[in-house]
Amino acid sequence: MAFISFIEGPLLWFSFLFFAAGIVTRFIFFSFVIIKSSKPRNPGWSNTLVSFLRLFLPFHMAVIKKPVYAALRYLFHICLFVVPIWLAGHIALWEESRFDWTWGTLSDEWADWMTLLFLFIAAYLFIRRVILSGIRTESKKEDLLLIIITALPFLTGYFYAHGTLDSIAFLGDNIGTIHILSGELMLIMVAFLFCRTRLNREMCTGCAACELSCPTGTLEFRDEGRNRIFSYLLYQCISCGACVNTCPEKAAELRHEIDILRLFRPTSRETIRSVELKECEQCNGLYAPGPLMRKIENVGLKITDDYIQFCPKCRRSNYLERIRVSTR
Amino acid sequence: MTRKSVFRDPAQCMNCKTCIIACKLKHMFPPHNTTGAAADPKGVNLIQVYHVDPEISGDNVHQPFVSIACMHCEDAPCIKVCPSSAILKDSETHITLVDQERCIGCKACLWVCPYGAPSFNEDGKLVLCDLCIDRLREGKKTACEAACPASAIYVASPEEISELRARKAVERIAGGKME
Repeated sequence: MAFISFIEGPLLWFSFLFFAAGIVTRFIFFSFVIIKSSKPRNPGWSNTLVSFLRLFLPFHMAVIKKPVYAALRYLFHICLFVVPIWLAGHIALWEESRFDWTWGTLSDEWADWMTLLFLFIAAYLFIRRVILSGIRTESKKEDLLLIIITALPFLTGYFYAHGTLDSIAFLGDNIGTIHILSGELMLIMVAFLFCRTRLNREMCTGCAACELSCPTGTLEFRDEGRNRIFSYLLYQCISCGACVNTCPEKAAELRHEIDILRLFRPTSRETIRSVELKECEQCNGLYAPGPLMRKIENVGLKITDDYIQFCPKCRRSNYLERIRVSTR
Repeated sequence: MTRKSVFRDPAQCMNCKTCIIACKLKHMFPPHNTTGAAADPKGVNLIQVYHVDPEISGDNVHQPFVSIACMHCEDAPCIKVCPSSAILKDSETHITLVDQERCIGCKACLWVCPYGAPSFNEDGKLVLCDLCIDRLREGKKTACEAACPASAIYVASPEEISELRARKAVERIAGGKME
């Protein structure tokens, strides 16, 4: 079995080293970009750090806005880290290895239940992404692949540990190989895994409150032509979730994505959303984001006074005109 | 304290902008960036004084100056539109107040204000005229009213204001003092 020894030997080394090198490279690029960035309203490094650390604790608005989804997400990530690191089977391998490392183990029963929980949540996330039209249109094929790659080591590991598929000839013989391969694939993928804000097309009104709350200047907008364009510098994102906390429409969401090319382009910005601007009926100047004005006029408040069609400058000059007439 | 309302008389304003300076001193607004390309030394102003184009007929020049700040609308659209309920009415005086902590800077208030009055500070948060509510509570006049050399700014209850405006209108038409 030359193949299995290759997978257990050199390829495993390669994936661990690739993983480590990827993390280091990412950190170097990240530091480079974050030092170079010139956010005009920098709230200070301590503030940035606090908003980053808050991500690990469930005390922020994102949890209040979507409690079930947030709880599932926390459970998913806890299982994702705890099971592979503290699994008794993995620690036995570490003890056998040349490093002779060992640490406390998770009981097999717990590991089983956590794996099952993980797989259920992964299946839920996968189905949710396929079925819900709002998320499907925002998703790329890579996003589905991401869930599959993450869930595969757990699935094969569960089968491997329990011998469920031993009766099926090919899978039964090679389930261990597949498990190791999928684990290695996941490790390699980590280097290309980014966090990115998604602005839901139907809910986002283009008010740019997320831009204001972003502590690192990752999200930026500029009014260009007839549109307001939101751009994103993936490398600067510390996935603190400030945009998710701030968004009044619950339109901002933080999502993982795999992007192989992005790893080597630390400073390039990409456009993530473009919102048309509303035109003033008096001076034809562009002033407010269109979806926000439509929401104000038609959906929630139904403020339909004439003045709402004018830009603030024209409203002021109209008011001045009224004053002039009244004081004449 | 009773309800408060504000009247800035365009017929008496003489464009000296003392109210702006008094307001800035009272609220301790820092200047914006004074260096670099984005320099804006004027900074945040709660009051803006505009002049209407003059109308000249013979020897008479008619040019009112209008100072625009938050009018403290009774049925304020900004309060209705604010997604984070950062704008609220003081229950006692009906003054429109801003909770800076809650403001997220979406500018929805600016897009619905009939006067284009809201201004935003360096952090992008809304700043609004609060009619110097702390001074009013101490029984003092607002900073702008106290500073105005032309007595063009009045802060009083809505009934007093409407009475004052009626008297002023009559004086203007009749061309003399009303007893």
